[in-house]
Amino acid sequence: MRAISDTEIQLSSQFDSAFLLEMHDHDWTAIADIFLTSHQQIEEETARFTCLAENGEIPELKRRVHLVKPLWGYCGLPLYQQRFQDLEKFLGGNPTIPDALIRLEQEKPFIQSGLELIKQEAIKIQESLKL
Amino acid sequence: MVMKFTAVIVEDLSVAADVLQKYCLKSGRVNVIKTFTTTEEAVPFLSENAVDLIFLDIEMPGANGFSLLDQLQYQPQVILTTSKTEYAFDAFEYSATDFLHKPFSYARFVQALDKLKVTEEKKEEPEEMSHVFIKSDGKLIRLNNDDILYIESMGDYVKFITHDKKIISHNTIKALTEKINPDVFCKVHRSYIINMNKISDIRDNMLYIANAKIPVSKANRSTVMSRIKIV
Repeated sequence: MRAISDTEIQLSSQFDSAFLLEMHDHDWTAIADIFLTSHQQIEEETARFTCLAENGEIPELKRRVHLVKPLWGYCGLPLYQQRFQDLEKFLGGNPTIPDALIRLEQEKPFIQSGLELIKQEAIKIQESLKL
Repeated sequence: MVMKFTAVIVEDLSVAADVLQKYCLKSGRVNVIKTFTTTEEAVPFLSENAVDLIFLDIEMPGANGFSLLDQLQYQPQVILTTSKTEYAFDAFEYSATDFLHKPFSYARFVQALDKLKVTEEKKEEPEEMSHVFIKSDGKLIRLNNDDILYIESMGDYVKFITHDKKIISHNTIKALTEKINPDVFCKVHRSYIINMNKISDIRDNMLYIANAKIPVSKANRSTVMSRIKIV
């Protein structure tokens, strides 16, 4: 793999690129790795959310939301982290099962869009590094 | 003077632990000796191995981070790492040195390190021995010892290899041997000086550092072996 300058890769404007570059010392390979690891972990964890809510396991659901939350931040997506912070706070209020399910349904498109963003940017970085 | 703190990371999120470990390495001020994903794993180790510093996540599966501090017989310095802000009062109660909100920047991490207390008993490394300045491309470039993986001879030049760069300088292995910190570096071959802390593996007359294969000459083999800890 060749060295790549920061100007050669432009992340989508939703990403805090400056923060990502500082965190990973301008290492695009490390950024792509973190995107892929986080994508996998967020996808796996969020897939369990509905089932946990249906079983009334709200404290466990809240714990898993808390676990996933900073991964958005590590991907340079602070707004997504904030949204999970709000979801965690909502679950801390011990909502009923139907209320929790409604809220999770509302979050689904948002989660999907975030995952898609991360995946696309990881692919974009990997393609640029191959050139 | 540069102080090097021995530390452990207790963090259930692998991404967060990896970034933290990178920051520690980059700072050259923290030697992470182990990483744990639960407090239950960390307590037995910390009870037998006193460390200077713990990077501690608070909310983890099983017992939370504060319960770990309750179980220790000594008081290491603690930097809390969390994605919640509600623990500020508990952080104060446990005399935590700082409270890092995940994810945090390297600059914020360094601020936390700057708050650590330096105990008098801690071994001090003179700052001038913690780094070198090398001449390259008409500049003097500073390299921290901890960033150098190894140095390779190229005739009248040497190549300094770090994780992310290779810097060529007009020098020789022989001359460098007398100038670099002997506690950190070791000449293993007429063409190589290595950072002893970076060896990942030794096989026969070869040692491995970050996927590079480095020969160990017969003359230097006993020196190298005497400097590694075999358990």
